Amino acid sequence: MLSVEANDRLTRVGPGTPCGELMRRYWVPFAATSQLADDPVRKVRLLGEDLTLYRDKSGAYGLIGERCAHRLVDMQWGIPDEHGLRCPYHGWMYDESGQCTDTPLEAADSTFKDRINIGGYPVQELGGLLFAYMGPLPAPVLPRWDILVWPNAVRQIGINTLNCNWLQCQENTGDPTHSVWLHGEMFKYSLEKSGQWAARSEDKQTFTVYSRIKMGVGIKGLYANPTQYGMEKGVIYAKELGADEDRVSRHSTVIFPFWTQTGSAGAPRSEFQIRVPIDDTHTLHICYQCYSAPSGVEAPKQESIPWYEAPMYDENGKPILDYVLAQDMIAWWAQGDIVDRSKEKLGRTDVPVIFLRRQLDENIRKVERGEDPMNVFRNEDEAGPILYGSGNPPERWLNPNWAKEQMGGSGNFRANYHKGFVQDDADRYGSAVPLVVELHKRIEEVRQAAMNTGG
Amino acid sequence: MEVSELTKGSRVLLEDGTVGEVVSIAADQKTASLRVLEAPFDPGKEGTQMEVTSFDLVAFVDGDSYDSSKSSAGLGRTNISI
Repeated sequence: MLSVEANDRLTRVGPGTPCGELMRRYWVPFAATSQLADDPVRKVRLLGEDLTLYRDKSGAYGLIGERCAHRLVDMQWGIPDEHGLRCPYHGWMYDESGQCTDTPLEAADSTFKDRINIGGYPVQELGGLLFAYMGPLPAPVLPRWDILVWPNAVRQIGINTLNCNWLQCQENTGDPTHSVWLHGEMFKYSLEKSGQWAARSEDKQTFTVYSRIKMGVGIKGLYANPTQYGMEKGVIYAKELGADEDRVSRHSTVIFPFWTQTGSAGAPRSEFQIRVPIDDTHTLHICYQCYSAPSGVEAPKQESIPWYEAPMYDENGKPILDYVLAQDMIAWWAQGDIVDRSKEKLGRTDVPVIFLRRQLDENIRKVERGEDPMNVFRNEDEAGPILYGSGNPPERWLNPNWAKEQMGGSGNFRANYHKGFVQDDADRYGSAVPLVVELHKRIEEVRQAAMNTGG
Repeated sequence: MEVSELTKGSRVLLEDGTVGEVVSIAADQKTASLRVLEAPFDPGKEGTQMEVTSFDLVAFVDGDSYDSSKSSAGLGRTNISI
């Protein structure tokens, strides 16, 4: 439970708000470059501001004000020029800083344009994503988080717009035990209800549902620790409470402020889920999916990184609940526009959620004191060439003896999309899936060959 | 997590993010008095004392880490349908 004031402080992202000022210290991903393939101009709403994204004929990106200064025409209908974007109404042209550079129907020697600027924010491209920086200059370095730049991999980007505040999406990351019900019991219920249970049971795909339900057995408690880049958390199991053994199950890494990572860099399937605030009540949810070829395997080549939108509703307007991300997205939306945290009651499984809120507040305070918050990097040495979100390079996948050490094969269903397991995930909607299936086949072949030669 | 599990001097996390040190425990073990060490969303509470019940307690605190498994009352229950 938080006070109403504390809840506002952590959730609202417009200009001048405490959390909005924090968010403006980061390079914020807001689109896939492939979204501009059909139309090089798009309307964008980000951190409560309406903007226009364009790629001009020189290939440069701009993120400028929403409307032309002349007659206030919406610039999403603009015409890309060699260096800038022209208003479709009278041809006024703006560069990437929002500076007007041409007013073609004014006198040739007019200096009118020099006094007109509709604003613009710096844009950078990395790994097929476009990032904007909307804070005070100088801008920090754009961090090269591992799977954005990981070599020898297939990638695709899932993008959804959600009608809810960003923090309830991110808090899901601090809540590992939701899998037991949302991705276990509720998944099972929805498959039974939609008549899919029998079909999925036939090819043994339902074991993933059972494995999630089983995650609820023998929980002793949860833990949360700070890490170099965010938070680590997990579930502690006890044999005395019914678990197979005493063990600690570490869950996905949280990269502050709005990233989470499942699967380490180099794995056959890893993902960033990025919860970008569009405004107080809308979130751009980006699933950056990377399917890496471990040492000794070559990934199929891609010309570009495709994007897709995973459907949330069927043709009758009812929620689609037969894949994991849809279950999450519906749960976040079902909490309301902005969760009223003054009315909630947290328990012992919410330890990482509480940690996450405290870390967020701590970093808002840093910005209020004029300091850089966590994960703002001021020089290239800090941020590259690869920044491991977990803090640890994935030695397992880089090991040249990887295949030999994988005797017995990988039991992770997300390394087995070629056996049909892609249907549990939003990934199934992406156009890169045939390449991923081919990659997972190659991985299995190499592993199998190592096994046949006796390791 | 129960008040009866607390000992004087132990540090605990409350659901609103407050971290406190146990100063005393009532004889009936239904309430405990905490000295507030950190109250991120209400810094004015820091240094004051407050009374808590089991309803407020979430986890034990060790340095920067929070851990709810250190309660002797493990969670360990779910309606398993497998």
